[in-house]
Amino acid sequence: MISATEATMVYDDGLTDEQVEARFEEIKLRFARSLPERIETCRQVLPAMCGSTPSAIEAVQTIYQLVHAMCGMAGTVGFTDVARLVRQATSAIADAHRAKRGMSEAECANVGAIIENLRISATRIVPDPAPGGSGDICMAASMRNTGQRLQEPLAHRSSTPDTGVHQDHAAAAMRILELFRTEGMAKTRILYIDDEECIREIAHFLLAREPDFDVRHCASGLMGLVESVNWHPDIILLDVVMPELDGPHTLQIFKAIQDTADVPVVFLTARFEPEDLDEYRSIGAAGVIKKPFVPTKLASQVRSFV
Amino acid sequence: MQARDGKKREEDYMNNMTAPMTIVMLDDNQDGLFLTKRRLRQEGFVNNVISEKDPARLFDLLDMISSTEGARRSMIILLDLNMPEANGIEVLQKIRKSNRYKDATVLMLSSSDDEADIMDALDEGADGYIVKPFRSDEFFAALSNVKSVRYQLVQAQ
Repeated sequence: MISATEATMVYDDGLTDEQVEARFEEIKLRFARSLPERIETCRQVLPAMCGSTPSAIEAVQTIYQLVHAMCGMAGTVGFTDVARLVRQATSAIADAHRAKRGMSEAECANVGAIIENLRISATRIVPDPAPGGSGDICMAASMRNTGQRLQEPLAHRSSTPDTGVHQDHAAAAMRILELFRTEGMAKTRILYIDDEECIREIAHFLLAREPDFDVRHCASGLMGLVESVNWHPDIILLDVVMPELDGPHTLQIFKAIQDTADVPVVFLTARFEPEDLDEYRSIGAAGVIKKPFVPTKLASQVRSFV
Repeated sequence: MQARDGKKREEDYMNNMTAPMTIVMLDDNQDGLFLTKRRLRQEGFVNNVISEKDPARLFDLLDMISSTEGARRSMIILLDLNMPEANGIEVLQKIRKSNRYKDATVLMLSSSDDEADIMDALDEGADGYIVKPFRSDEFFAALSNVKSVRYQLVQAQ
């Protein structure tokens, strides 16, 4: 259930125009940076679309989702050329997508040509790394955040008599150190894919409380695929039994895509006997964690695969 | 920002409505949600937009709004058509099947301008369909269509 306070919070986000624009620029930048990878993924899945096999149908659905995800975003952030080409690609795939069929060679070639134009067009959108350019927005946001966190100890310091200053200096310094230790450290990125929401949230909670883990979760193999191409996880935890695209099929796609081919994928399953391990390994899994997982052990189990 | 201009238009719009309006939007993509919210903000809708990214929680949110403000505000639901977890059409069907919200005003928001997608949405009972990125005139056109629908309903009663 949603509490009244929670709803009030979303109701009025309290952002100033500047904050909204800064976030907009940040999203735009992140999207621009993710474009080459998104397009590369399309190019890699492209050949699989031809024909009438189940994997061709799956590839059509995958590419449709990939281009469609770019569609609204590209237009909204103002990349008009990219938006136009992505829309072309979406239309070219729409029929096959709706009919849940694979594509003919001519159709594939057509989509391929559009994607190639898209790739060229995307290379023209180069995020500006110069100081003061949009590349600094993420940094600025992070520094603002840091500043806010430091305000508290510093305010405390100014309100206490002189004798307390040294102590508070020390405390502030400790906080800064702590901040950089936890935020500056390269965290292990964990992507958790499971269709069951409550399990996903428990796993997220158990893993995210580890200071060196950065956790994201997705509800389906397809979403996991898109997320991993954009986010580059260090390890993927994958539920075996899921509707539509199940764990083993998702794994096959992960292994087929250059970006994710080397990322260890660990299956999570309730139906697991020790003798099954070899079978899971033979299709490319790094290992298996048995469900229901032991809350106190999950983090260390995950760590053993990184 | 065109906020000021938009605000005036919102006022004009509001003055013509019998009750102020709450826009409830559903999009499971956090960035997409923000971008749409930013566009609405540019159109002057600043404090009356509630967003939700989890389709499963939409009805909780609707219940909450209608229990606290239902009497005072009219509600427009903006549904993103393509959400990986739950298709927007399915959510629309659920709304149309529900006792409480079957008459709610629902606008579909989608990056697809595919005619088949638009027809599907209208067939399932959407009150309007807006292609992303939407232009102001399209958005307000969709809203005024809705308004006339509401007006006709009131006339008929």
